[in-house]
Amino acid sequence: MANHSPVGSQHHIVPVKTYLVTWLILLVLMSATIAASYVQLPGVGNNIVALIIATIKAVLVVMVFMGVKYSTKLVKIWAMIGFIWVTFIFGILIDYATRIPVSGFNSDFSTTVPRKAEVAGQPSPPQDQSTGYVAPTDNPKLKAQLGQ
Amino acid sequence: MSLTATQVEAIPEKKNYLNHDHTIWSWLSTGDHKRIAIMYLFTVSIFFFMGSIMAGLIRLQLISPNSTLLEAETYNKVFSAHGIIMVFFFLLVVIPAILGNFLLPIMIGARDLAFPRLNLLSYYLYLAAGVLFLTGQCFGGVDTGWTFYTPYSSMYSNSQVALTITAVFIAGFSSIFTGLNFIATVHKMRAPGMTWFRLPLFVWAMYATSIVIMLGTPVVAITLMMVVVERTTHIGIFSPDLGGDPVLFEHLFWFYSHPAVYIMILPAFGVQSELICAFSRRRIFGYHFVAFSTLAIALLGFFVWGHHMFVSGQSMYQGVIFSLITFLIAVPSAIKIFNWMATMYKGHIRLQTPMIYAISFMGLFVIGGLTGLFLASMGTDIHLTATYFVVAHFHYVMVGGTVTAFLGGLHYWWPKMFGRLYPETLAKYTAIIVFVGFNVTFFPQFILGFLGMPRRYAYYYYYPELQPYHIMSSLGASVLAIGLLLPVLYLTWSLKYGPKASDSPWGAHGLEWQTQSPPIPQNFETRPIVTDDVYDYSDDENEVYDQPDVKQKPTPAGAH
Amino acid sequence: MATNIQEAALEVHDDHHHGPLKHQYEDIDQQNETYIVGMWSFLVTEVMFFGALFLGYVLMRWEYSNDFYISHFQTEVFWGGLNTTVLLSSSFSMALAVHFAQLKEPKKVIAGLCVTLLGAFCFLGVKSHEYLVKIADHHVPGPSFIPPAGTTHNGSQMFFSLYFMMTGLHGIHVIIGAICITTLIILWAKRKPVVTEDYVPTEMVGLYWHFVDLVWIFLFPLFYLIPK
Repeated sequence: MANHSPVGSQHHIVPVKTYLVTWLILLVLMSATIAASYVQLPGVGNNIVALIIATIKAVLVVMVFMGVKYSTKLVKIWAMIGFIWVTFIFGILIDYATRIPVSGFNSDFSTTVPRKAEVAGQPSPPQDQSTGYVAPTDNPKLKAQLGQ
Repeated sequence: MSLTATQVEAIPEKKNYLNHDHTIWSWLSTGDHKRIAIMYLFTVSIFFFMGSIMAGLIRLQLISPNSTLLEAETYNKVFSAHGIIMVFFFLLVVIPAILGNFLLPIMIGARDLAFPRLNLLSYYLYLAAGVLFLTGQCFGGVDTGWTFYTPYSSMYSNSQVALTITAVFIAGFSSIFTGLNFIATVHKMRAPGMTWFRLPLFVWAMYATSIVIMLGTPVVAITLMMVVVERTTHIGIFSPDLGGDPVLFEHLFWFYSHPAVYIMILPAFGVQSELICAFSRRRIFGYHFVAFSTLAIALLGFFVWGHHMFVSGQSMYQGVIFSLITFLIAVPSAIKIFNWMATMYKGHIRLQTPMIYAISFMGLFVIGGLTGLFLASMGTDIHLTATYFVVAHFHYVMVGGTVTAFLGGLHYWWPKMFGRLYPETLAKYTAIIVFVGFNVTFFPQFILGFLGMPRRYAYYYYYPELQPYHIMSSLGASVLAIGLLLPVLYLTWSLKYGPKASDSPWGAHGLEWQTQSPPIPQNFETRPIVTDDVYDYSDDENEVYDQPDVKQKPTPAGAH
Repeated sequence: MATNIQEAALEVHDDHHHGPLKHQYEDIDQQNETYIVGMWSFLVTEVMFFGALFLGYVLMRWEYSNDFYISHFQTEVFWGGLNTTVLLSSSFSMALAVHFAQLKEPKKVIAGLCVTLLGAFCFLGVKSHEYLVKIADHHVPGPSFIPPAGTTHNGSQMFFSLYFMMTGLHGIHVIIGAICITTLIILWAKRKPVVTEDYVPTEMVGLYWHFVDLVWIFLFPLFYLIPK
């Protein structure tokens, strides 16, 4: 086959030491991510730290344990394309971030069911017990928006 | 020396994939991609006719504005069954699983697909999904439509939603395994000399389709599974009752289901390229453009899902962006149409059955595509959403595109699949009947939609003026039904009584025409080595005609 | 399966047809590369499979950030950390098993696989313990659901919905992985040529197992370590 790169016959055998070092780094990173969660960082700092550490761990697993570092270009592309495409799914979030205020994010998804009001232990607003539906006229938020 | 009848019978038929073993078990346990393709052909046809019967019921119901043929609830179940069968059990599988399975390994000069047993598994998964779906139908059917929108499907619908969705989930896995198989095969199993740019465009189309399947299908699989979990255990993220978001379901569903329409139409493009080249006897105009526009459609198709949700409460700004990208995707589709027309220009066009289907494909697909632009623009879409305009649009693309291309491809490769020729004249008239019947059925629906007839309604007594259009549509449907029934009859007839086909009955170019008809189990006696370009019709003087009723036209001067 | 076809191929490709080589391939290199490409394509579909759930998670945590923060104290970092350690280590032993499969040392391969399998069982044991605790605390969404103090009903229910769906799906993958590894151990123990003469089947199970590990690497911080 003219189109083949000879990886099968001369596949790269990774030394045990590399695996051992990777494993130890992974365990250290895991401890780091647990430790970091007990430190209160400003803003979304904790999220960013946790995600960065998780990404480093993922890259280590993919590159060393799964052997992508030593593989053909095709496998490298394939290994990337899944993660790239997942970020495209996250494009769905753009919708929620850019909605106009009447159904905007961090208000409610719909204007008819006030969810935040029903904190456990507090009385919930009057609603139909069978469906949980709150008539729009009973919804204070919607009333405010409609200027009533 | 003439042979007597007994002597003729005594000559053993040449060994091929159909007759090298006759037991039922040898079919059911086969790993041969050709046999699996034939099994798919059989099963998919059954589903297609079930779906068609549902369509017939819908059209019968709508003849009268106040019809009593079906209850409103039954009507919902009928159109849901029509949609689910046609989308998940017909359109998504028809070309990849039948023509793709049969042709892909032969076209690239391989002995089989990369994973024959996986291929068989995907057939059985498809079958299991079909059986499960039909079980659901027996226990009362499903009334959600093929889109399974939440929270209706996850909370309120009182029908067999869980069973049906599980069936669709399994069918999705069947499709994923076929896709994986094609990807590995195209990458690693090509014959020596079969470079990427010598691949027939059908193979390119299959490859692009497989990538869409690989990246899209898992998303809808998990989304639908979440609906089932939410429905059965009340653990879920879509239902507002549980604090979830139904629009998220629409996002995730269309993230797959818009690319899914490219899973349906890209293979049709591939077939179309083959037909146009073979019957114009010219190399395709702009091979690279067509190949790359296939990939462009496959990838761009992932960024337009929001145009299904213009009225679902998604962000206005995102709607604008989706609208723009949707317009963009018309460009690679148009490139293909223009390239096919340029290929036909000054070609030696032979109007045989597959070519008639190919030409009607172009006409219907252009109408379907251009009306898609009406729906892509947000303003008009708000007027046209969920009307018969949408119905007509996607039937023009799906039936006018995929079904027409499939019928063309089936006629084109039929002699290769079974070694028999079908009655050409009858087939030609049938192709014309399909074209006429289709247009009479669906063109009135554009007008209906524009006048405001909503889709999925069992009655329209509030607006009886719509009746003439509905009657015309139903009339066309019966013509279309004849057009779709005839091929079943004469193709089945040809299996036994059709004249024997030579190895290359169309004189077409390509590896599949260099093997025996029908092919031997391992496709080629020796491994082919590809030395000539794809669609190389330059030495076209000694072409062979197998068709009894085709008269070779004199070559016009300066045609090349 | 497909013996007739393979026999037919046997007539033509007699010299090829021995050991683990399938009839449709020219040589073992082509077969191995094809298997790896097929496996990676499968893993891409798996990534997309989980991707949709991760999106749901991000969206819901955005909407109910405070509820998620309070609810996440119901998951115990100790058990989560233990499971992470177990999975990372089993991934390591799996990598070693593949390494020794390449060197054709069956005993070491079996040892590596057994350690991996042990890890899988450990993980499942810990996971079922955690599930039982949540069931006992009425933290399973549904009619009997009782939200942790200070959270809204819907928000905490959403947290536990996602928790059960994502870890449950991951758990199913662990179980499938354990079945694959068991099969592989049996094949190696019987010294079947399909595994001993060709390292790729072992490698494919390895890839799958590393993927399972990969998913957990993300699940762990998302459910056990949510910051305020």
